Amino acid sequence: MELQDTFYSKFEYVETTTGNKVSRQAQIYGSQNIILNGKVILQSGVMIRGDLASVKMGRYCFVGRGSVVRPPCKKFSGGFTYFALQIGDHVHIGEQSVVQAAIIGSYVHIGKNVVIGKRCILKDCCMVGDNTILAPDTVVPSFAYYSGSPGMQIGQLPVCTQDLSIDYTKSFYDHFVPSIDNL
Amino acid sequence: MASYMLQKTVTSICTCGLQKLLPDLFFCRHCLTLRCDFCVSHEIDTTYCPHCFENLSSTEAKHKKNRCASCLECPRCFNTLSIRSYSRTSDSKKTPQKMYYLLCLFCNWRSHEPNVPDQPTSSGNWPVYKNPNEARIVDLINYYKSISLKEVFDKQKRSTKNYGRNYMHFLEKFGLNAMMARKRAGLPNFPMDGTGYCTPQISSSEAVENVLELPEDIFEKVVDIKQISTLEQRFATPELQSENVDDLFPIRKHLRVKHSLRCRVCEHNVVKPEYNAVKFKIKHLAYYHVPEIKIIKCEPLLAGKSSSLVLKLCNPAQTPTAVRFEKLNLKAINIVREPRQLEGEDLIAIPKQLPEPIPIVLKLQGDIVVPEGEIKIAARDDTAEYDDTNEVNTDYDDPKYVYWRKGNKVALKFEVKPYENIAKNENVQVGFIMNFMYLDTMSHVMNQKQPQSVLVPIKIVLNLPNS
Amino acid sequence: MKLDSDFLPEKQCIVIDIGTKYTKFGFATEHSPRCIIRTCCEIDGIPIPDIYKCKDAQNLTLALTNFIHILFYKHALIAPKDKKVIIVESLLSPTKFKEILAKVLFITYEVASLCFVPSHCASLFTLGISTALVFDVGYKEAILIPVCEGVPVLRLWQTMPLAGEAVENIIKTRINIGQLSPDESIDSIAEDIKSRTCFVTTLKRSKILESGNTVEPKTTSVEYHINGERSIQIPGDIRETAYDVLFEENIDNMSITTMILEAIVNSNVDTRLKLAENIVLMGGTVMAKGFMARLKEELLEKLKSPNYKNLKIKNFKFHIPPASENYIAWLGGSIFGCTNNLNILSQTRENYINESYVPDWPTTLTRQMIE
Repeated sequence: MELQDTFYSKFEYVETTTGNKVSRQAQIYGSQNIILNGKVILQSGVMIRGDLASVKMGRYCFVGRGSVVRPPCKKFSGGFTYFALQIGDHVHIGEQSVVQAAIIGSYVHIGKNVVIGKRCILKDCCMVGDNTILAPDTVVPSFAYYSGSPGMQIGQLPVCTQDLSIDYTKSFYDHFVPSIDNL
Repeated sequence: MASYMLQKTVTSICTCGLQKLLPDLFFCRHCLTLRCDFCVSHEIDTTYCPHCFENLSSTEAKHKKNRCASCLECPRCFNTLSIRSYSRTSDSKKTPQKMYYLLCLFCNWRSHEPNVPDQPTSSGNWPVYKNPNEARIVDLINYYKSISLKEVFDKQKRSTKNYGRNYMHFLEKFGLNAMMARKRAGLPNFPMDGTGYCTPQISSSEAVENVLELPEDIFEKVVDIKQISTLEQRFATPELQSENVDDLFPIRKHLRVKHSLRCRVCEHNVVKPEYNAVKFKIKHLAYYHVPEIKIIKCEPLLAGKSSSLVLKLCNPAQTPTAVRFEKLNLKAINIVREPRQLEGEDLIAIPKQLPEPIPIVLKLQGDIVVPEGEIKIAARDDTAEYDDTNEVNTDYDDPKYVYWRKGNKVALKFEVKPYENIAKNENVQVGFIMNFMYLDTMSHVMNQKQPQSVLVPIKIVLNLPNS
Repeated sequence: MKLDSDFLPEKQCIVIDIGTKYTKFGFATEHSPRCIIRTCCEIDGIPIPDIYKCKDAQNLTLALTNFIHILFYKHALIAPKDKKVIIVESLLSPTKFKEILAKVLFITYEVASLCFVPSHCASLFTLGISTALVFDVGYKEAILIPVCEGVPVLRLWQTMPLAGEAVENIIKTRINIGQLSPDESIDSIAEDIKSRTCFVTTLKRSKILESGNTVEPKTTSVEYHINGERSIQIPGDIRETAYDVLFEENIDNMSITTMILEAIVNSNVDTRLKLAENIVLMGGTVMAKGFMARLKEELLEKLKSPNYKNLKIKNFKFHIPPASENYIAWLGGSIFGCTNNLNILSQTRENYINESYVPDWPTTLTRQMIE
């Protein structure tokens, strides 16, 4: 099925010059530490904790309603330290998910209601299914489909994952349009 | 992305007869046919650990029994274990010594539970459990090995006259390696006629009368189910299979492989991964050649009534293409139409016996009216994204079939007429054949310098929702 | 003279024991299987829980192709091309299954050679004996075939659908799992209950419980959690009597006990004593706690009945294998794979393609054809 249009209210979203669409209801902390590389959609209720450490997001990323993006921490003998969180291009993060990974590569799909534990590393071209719980320090290799609790590899993604992901995120952005009655 | 994984509305029938989604299909550029996971031969390209990404050679992997030397899994929940450290001071004058233990961050299992001693290094030479019966099995193996050798000797003895003093028949039996290895090790050669050859004796197993009785306390003992391992946990280490959770040992992480795929018919690679990246040296996928079909609009279906259906075709190739539709003839569905006979270099020296194709079983629940004539689709242009002038020649389009055009995409109107007897709330399955023009640029065809256009037929099955 | 394994020609040899529920898989000369996994696979996303139940040749081909693919590319991590394969199989495994398996391995996966080893004979390699009464209690059925001097005595075979599945069915009827959990997980929960909480009680207690009386001491019940949310009590009497179905006699007075006795009664007078004193048990179900002890008790009890009175056997002896019972057939295959006989008894791909025929194991005619 071709993607259907997702409508949003023009008053709710702020659009930047680079094409980022950020909901006014998103909770953005420490905005000086957050870099969105363009055409990123942050829906309402999204929380990004730039106040803990820097958060970098590539182009064509999407963060669904109510998700939390939070830099990971590690306990040392001296106390806590927070690390920067890097997210690549064409990354989709579903609704109600909590992401505390260290690195998320490009072309990654994270489903709804997922918990990505602290300091996880998600390589390029991988997918985490809905309702998955990834334990801290998990590494998800490329072309792996992880699901379950704790998340385990249950499948393999096709060779053309990269192009599928680009197509999907681009057309999602194109279909994310202001609703007509607000025009 | 997720929609690709779950929705099976548009499927293509692979040459081997299986119904697959377009992203799962390969396209052999020599046979010009679709291939899928099932009908290509898989080869192992690289072996790697899915946690630390260490690449291992095949001999190394074989030596390590396909397990990673450094990464360990929790025996309880199979999550990868983390290594934790603490400082130990046995003597207040000395500098504290760092000690390491294993911890599962998912279920909180610790390596203290089965009494794995803490290690002074982080890479940790974590102890390997041993099969308690190893010695006995080694004895058995040696015993049977020598018995079978003796049989060979006895056979030779009976017919030894014919061989004379020729070693060759031994080379066959034991392999050249064996002879060389013995020589290098300074061992005497195999005795010629098996004289002086004696088999090691083993004590054959003694049957016992007093079998293991039920433990006395089994009836009254309060059982904590959490302390009894599941079958999955037991089978993770087949040689131990301990029933108590506390006796489970960490498991070394199993390695994974990258596959390179080869067409079975012409033995050309269709997919070859690159050493250490998500890139590929070769990837001949249907997704890059065959126009992709997506459903844009489907009117509610009614039994016996025609309703319109709009499909979007998207040409992924850098060259323009044209499509021509045909009805699907159920009677001739199993006849494979080869767009091109293999010839010249493509023919492999010794043709192999190939697995038989799977007969296609389809139950169509409706008729489909397909657009007539040839419909051209423009080439994919990556710069078009930044270009608003969208000039497509629509002069020759029949407005009866072409809904709109945009770059390398075209929307086409179809008509679906479900049969009278379709069940409610069941998907309506309709099928047709799409012939698309493939520009064959390979210089593999004899006496031919120009790229050639070939019409490639692909069977498409639509599963239309009917609610 | 000691022979080191390095001296023999190296061509990796894979040993597969495809059971109805679990498949044992590994390399020959190794001491334990690399993995014990469920015998199941997927065809186009539809799970096939039991490969042996695939009746249609087409489906079976697909299922086996997928399953072998999983074994080689997920567990063995080698391409099957030009490898030797040993299949440890039951003598009663259907010919169709065998033929399709051979076709998949030879044609689709191009293995170099294939050898079918009867599981009952293979298990004796782990003991170093050549005559025994081999009794395989797996998941689907209990199969008994005596082996005399390495030759299976097919005339005396006994089989009954009394094995792990029967026990699980009892658990399913006595505990209503369906109420607590979705349908698809009932089987795995029943299996889990069976393997983690149940045991085989003694004959004395079983008799008392059967008559409806209570026994002392009473077996404790176990609190069992489903999906981490609900919990149920598994009563003590179910825990100890679930396995009793194997020993209950059916309408023809048959149970696993009488299977053994019938085989002994029908055997040659000279071998009777030898068989009774060389009983080999294998298969996952015999690993249940107290199984062997109960079987012995039942055998001795039954011996007193008029049918078996003139057997003149006083006791039964059991062999203790050097490995868990659920993979001793595999281990036997692995030991067999070390020997030269493998090369003699295997069918090569050339032979298969020329003859397009899989030799059935007992015929000497086909043996000549291979050679």
